[in-house]
Amino acid sequence: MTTLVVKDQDPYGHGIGGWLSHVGAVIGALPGTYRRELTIHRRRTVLLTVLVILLVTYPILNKLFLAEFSRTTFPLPLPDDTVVTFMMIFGIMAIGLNIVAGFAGLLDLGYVAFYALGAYTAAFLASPHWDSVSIVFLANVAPGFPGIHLPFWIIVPIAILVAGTFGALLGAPTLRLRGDYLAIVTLGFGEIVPVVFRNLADVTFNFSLGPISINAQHLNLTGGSLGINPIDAPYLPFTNLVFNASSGYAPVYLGMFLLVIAILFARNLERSRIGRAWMAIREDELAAEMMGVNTIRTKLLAFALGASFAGVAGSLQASYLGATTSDFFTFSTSILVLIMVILGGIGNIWGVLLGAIALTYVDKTFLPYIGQQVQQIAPSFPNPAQFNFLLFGLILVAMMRFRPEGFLPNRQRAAELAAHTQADVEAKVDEIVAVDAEAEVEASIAEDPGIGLDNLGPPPGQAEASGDARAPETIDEEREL
Amino acid sequence: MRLAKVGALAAAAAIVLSACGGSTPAASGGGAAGQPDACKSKKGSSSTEIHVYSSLPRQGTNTEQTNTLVEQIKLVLDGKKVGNFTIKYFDLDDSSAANNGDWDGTVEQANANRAANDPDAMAYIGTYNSGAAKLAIPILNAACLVMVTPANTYPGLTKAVNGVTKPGEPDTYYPKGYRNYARVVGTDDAQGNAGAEWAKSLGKTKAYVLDDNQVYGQGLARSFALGFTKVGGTVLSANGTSESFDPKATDYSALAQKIKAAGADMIYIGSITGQNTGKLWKDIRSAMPDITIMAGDGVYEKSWYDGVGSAGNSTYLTFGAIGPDQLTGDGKTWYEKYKADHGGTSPAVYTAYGNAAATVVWNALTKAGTNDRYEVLKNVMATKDLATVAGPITLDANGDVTGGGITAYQVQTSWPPQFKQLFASKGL
Amino acid sequence: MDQVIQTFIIGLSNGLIFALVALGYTLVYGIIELINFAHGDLFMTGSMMAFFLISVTFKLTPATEPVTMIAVILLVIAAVMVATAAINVAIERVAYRPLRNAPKLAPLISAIGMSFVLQNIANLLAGPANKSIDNLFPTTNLLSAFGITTIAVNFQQAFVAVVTIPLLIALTWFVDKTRQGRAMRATAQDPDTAGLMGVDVNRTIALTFLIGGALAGAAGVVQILFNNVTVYNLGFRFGLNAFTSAVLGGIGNLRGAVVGALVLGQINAFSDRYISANWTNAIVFAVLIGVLVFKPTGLLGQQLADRA
Repeated sequence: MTTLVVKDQDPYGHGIGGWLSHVGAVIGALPGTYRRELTIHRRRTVLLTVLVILLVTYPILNKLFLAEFSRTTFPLPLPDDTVVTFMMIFGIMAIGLNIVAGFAGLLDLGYVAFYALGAYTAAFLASPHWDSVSIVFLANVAPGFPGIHLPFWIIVPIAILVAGTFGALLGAPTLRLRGDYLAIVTLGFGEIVPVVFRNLADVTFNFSLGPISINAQHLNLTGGSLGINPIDAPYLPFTNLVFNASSGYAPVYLGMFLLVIAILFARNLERSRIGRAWMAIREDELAAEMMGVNTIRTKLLAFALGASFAGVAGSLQASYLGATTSDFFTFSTSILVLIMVILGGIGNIWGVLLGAIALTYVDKTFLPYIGQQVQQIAPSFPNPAQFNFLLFGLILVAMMRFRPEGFLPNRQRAAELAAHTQADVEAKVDEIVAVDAEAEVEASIAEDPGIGLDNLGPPPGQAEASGDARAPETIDEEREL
Repeated sequence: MRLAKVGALAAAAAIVLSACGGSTPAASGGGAAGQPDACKSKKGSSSTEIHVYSSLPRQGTNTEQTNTLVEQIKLVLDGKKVGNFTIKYFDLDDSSAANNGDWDGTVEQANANRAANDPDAMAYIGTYNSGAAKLAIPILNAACLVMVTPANTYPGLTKAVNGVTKPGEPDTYYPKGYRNYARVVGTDDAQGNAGAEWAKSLGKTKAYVLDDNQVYGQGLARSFALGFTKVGGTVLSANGTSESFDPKATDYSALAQKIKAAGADMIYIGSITGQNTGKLWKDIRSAMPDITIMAGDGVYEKSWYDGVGSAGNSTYLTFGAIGPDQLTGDGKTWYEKYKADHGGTSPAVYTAYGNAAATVVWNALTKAGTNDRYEVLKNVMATKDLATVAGPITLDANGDVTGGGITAYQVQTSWPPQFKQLFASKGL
Repeated sequence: MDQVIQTFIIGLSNGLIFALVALGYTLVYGIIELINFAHGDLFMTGSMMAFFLISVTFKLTPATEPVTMIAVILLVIAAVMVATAAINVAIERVAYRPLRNAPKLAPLISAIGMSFVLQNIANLLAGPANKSIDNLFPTTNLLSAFGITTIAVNFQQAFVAVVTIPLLIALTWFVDKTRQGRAMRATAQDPDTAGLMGVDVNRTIALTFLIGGALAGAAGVVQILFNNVTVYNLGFRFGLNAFTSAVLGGIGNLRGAVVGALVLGQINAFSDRYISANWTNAIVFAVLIGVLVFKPTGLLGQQLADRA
């Protein structure tokens, strides 16, 4: 029974090819879905459309007159291109962490480790760091220039692989453990990875086994505390378009491009068989296992896929900044991303995106601005910007107490979090038992909140059939109570 | 592939000379031949205002120094008149909570871009951390905006020092092939070297060198180790140069025991205050009550002494320039006035250099007399025998301050420490 | 050999402090399965309070009369224990109790939030720099009385043992032998059944937080007297080590936490001494993963709670 349903839902086969055709179908079906969304959730769709248009046009508006106005007429806390680019970078990270923590319910407190791995991947593959070799391929430097220089477009998939692999390597021994152990092990991992990058700057070792003898003296593997610089900026081959801090709003759109791909990918994952398995595990691991979900493999996949998003974010960050050092990757960054996810609405892609944009703005533009204003008026007053984390801490506590589902909640997740009393939990257990597995799966699809991209899983040809198969509204309502 | 975009990096060294005029930088005036492309038509848009930016970490442990820096910059520049122009000063913060109140690369780049995109910006004072300067210099280089730092001491930003800086430095920071960065303080290699000389004159032969695994601390400690080996001393640290301690550790007793067992007669520590120095000093003192400890100016501040307490007594401290209390002439007047204005509190070590950096900018603005970035840049790089509160300043072609000194102090039983000796500043 | 023994002594005294902090984690985890992230910061709060009491209120110096000093230290320990216990109970009431039946992630995130709140309040009130007191104990080597000079045990190390070991024994006795301890163990095993059997579950959980908070306070005072330094982010440094100890020993298991902490203290000391100080954290982490892979419930396994 279950397998049959899954087959229906997964008509594109596996692997990258399957996924690509899937994405193609998604994009093809966009206009129709958008029209449908507009009629069903009119207000929300209009609001989100306005927000998206604002975000897309903001860098241009900013360049045309906003920045000028702020400089000459009245100082406004406007995020500049760098900060908007970082909104995109943190958006990608938040979406990735949402897969781990939101979809699969695994708490990762060391997410910054994968961010660092992505950044160092870019640093190793597009900088003069390995100056004893010279590999230049489609890069923005002269042939024969020392170091490995690969284009950003090749680095991103490599960063995905590297971060994903490390995610799996870390997950393999630890995912068997209970959730809390996982939290502490990931926290440790997040602390260690930057330390390793920092320490491996002066490696001396001797290894000899019979005829094989490896001898390294003072090998600088990672650049140590100085980090690695300069890292080649992302660049569009055969054009003059370079995406670095000096090229205005170009990097913002590069970030947006990667973010949109991340969103599409995450949406598809959520709706796929694996996405439903994650939700099953999150709600009740034991029950999920009974239903035939391979929990270890499923969790491992969540971990690896989530990590790979941070890999993308990291490689973009390093390429954009043009330098990387282990100083950039601290526990507070992990927590900041976690707060973005929780504030926005854990489990809901649009929610966490909103959280990422809002908190990046608060951390990098708004609070420094307020700090500046305060320092001008009362120089002896402590800079309010440095109590950021007091505010963030209070937000975490208050959110858990009063609105644990976040500002843009995922409805299924909200129901789960709202079940605070024992009676509720029991009622919910009964209900879950009552709802048959297939209906459960369908319900989870039907009640998805986001805009435009909703319900795009099935291809155009099957859209109708799938629409028929969708769970009746009654189940949807029943689950919401 | 794209030959047209060929390595500004590789060619930089050659262009530097033609752009800035070698040993007498840009003295020839604004001839079109020497003017880099990035500097063409960089005149401000306002006819009444000139903007000066500073980018310093304004949160956390950094505020003890940076508050005084900002105060001095304001004093020298804010609201002053250059011809028809009024100078408007913007105090930007390059730290963020996401980075624990320390400098944040994103924010630094945003600040640099903000200044670069403001046509009326004529100078950028900063940064405090050398790591941040690495990110800001290239952005400002593309925008022909001059940067003057009161505090960056990492040598690789302006010159190559074997064993301390990385290959390719400093040219990688100047993608347009000309220099736009100047500093009014000496570099770590000079300070480390002076420390080594001092250690030798104190009769020390076996040093254990520690660092906090950060850019500044490691650069300084390595410079000391190199200098100490050069004057005939032995460095006992495991890798022969400098050994890192973990600033997040809860205890250093075992490390102290290791140092004791190695038989060192002195310990050199390259670190900044915030890296758990209180605990480090206490554990070392508790294992070896009488050993000589020497450290650089990263800990030359009151909050360090508050953190180490009596364990910091008799520590030898070097400062990478002339200490505030050793200033002469204008500097002495400034020092006395500062103390009088601040209820007897001595200025922090970098305070005078905040004033000096602002003075260099002020001097260049008045000499340029116009709101053209290139004119200001030329005049900053050509600073010669400029009287500042930190002594006369002359910049070389690299933007480094020439001459100057390294001041040596020893902590007695209270703060501030006692002046001991003045060393000539010379690199490795 | 002397060197090895010396390193062992250093590791032992550090391990005992880890144990004091680790017990607080394991106690709370044992009863409500929550990693009380704020516990490390409560420990920091305790050591900050002790710092202000010792150096500002009572102005203790090494020259203070021994009798006065002992009296004041005892008073400070008592005062700080009461204060941190009260804070911990308040935190439980505000941040954890309303989330008791929520998914496990919710109270954990709330705890992380509380940890940041405590840390930043300390930063706001005490500033970001290290705070230090003078070493109040004599600096003589205790072993020199026995004619040993190559190995040193100082007063601070002895003090840690003198305070910590009785506390550990008392706590174990309390949980194992008293009526309240039985209630705690019952609640840990099954809160619903315990409730039906007449155990006041809310009160028992509050009591656990009270004891955990008092322990954190005691540990805070011991740490400032031992290390003489405190700083607003101390809780994170110690918390990570203490939590790792608790997991290493088998979280929820009191004896396990002590064993884990002692093992961790030794790993820290021997790695600092014989490998390299900047690899210590990585080694600790590798050991933790290794233990968890081969013995997923930690060295001694879970005793107090095993209802997963």
